[in-house]
Amino acid sequence: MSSIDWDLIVVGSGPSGGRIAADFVKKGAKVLLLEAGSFFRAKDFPKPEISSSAQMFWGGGAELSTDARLGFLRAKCVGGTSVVNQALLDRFDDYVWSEWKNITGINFSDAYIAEDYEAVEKSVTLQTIPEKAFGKNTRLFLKAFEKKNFGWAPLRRGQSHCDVENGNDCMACLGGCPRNSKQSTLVTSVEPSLEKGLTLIPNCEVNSIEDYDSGVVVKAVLNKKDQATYKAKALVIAGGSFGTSKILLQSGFEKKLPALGKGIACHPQYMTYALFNEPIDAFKGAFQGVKSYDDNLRKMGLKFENVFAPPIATAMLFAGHGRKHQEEMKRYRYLASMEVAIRDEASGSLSIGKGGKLLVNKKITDQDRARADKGVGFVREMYSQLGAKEVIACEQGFGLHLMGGCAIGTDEKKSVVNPEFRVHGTKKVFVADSSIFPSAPGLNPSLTIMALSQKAIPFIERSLA
Amino acid sequence: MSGLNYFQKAALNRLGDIMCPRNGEFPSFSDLDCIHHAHIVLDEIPAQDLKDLKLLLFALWFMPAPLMRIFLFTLERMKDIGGEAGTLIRMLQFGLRGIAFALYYSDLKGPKAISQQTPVNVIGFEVAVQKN
Repeated sequence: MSSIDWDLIVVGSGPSGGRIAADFVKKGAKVLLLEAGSFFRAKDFPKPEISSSAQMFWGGGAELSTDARLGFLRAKCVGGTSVVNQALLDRFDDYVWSEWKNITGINFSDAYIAEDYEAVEKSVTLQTIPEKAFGKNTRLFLKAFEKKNFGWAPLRRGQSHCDVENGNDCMACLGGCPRNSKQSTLVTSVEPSLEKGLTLIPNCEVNSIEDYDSGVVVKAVLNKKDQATYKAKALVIAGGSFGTSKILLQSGFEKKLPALGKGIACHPQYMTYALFNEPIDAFKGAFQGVKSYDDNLRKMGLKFENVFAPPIATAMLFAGHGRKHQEEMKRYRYLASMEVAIRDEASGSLSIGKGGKLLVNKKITDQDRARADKGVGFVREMYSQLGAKEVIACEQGFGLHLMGGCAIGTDEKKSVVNPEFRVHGTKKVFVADSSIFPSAPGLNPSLTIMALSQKAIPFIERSLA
Repeated sequence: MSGLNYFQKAALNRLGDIMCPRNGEFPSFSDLDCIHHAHIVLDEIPAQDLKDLKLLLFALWFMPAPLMRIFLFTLERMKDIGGEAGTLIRMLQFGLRGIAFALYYSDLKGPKAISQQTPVNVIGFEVAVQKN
């Protein structure tokens, strides 16, 4: 291989890639961070909703499964998912670790990852929304849960100064937080690293990689038109479940690694709205403050959160069109909503279609359907008990937590990444993002993606030595 | 090359007016001239999807409004069927609803808008965040 320009190339700047890139910049390495999306900062996040949705997500807002029954929201911007999510940072529990241990042969446990969790938690500001700042949507959620005897807990959020008491509406931050309060990778890792020598190339979509004894070659397209090639001693692919799998599929790795692109999960989420007599104004103030925290619900594979959706998303979630649809939208201020996310079977697969299009073959299995129906049934029941005039259960499921495709494990026939986060059969190619999840955890994945990335750092470092 | 030609714009306005008609306080899709901002979405749609959408809009231009109403009603009724036909119907529905609702509820108006208030004003959505 001819001259190597970089110590490390990182593809993808979300919770995994941004964090790893920042760590190696601190260590004095020459790091190149490639991001398919655009580089927006607090001062110029696209607004309104139509712009943020189109410019910060793949597919111009959403992508569909091959049978068009599930939609996927996949961030496409510097900072990745962490810029557009609600920065909910939960640790995984023993339900996850014991399952992952069985699947992978790796000794997953609280102890396995405790130090990494601590390191990540120290590097961000974690807060919960104080009860006095709960809006009506949250209060209704709590009332419903108490009537039903379900346990709940405040959501632990990566945020530093939302100042909702003084009139800030967190929903405005779904397309990026203009206050830089949200502890996104953009804020905590990428921007500080740029000042310390990180080279960032946005709008750079990596198509394929080649792995050699002496290093790696990355082939990409810049600004949708120009071909570019980069060389480094080592490579981290952190494009998330879909992005990382796509790059490896396009690079021909599925011939040696039959598990590549398999085992896709997404925590399908179903929103249910309830109409009340008085205005709820669920979009005002603090936005997502509490979650279900109940062992029985956990065993059922259900997770509830008090969320709401902005107008375009709500219009898409409501069925139909025309006058009836408008009349439903007109009641927007009087609507509460709750979401149920299910711990789905990792049954999906990815492949490359015509023109390099990523095909997501992810079907709702019978078990998934039963879980979703059960969860939505609970929500209907809870809202009816609270005296809702009408309950609107939305049929369209969305996957926001995209996981799998490059499962971690010891067996090359069943996994893609080894316990040292290196792609099987390669010397210098590492993956530590959500694509390595061997099954759906049923919990918010961001913190664990960062912690696993933290765990991968010593192995990557060793490959550079 | 994401722009729509005359026929595609006309079809989208007709489709938008059926999906989002003038109704009480609600202006119609074309009252807002929100099609002026279609590039926001079209610029970001993958090339093949954009090509398909343009072809579809061109085909819809030939469809008179009453027939288009039946077409949209049929899509809605048949969206749960299985097989490739069901997939196609859901994709069509998602794409057409996506562009119509994204523009209608964008809170944006074009220079030829004849409505003072937007549907976002009508539903009472308003959020704000003070910058640092």
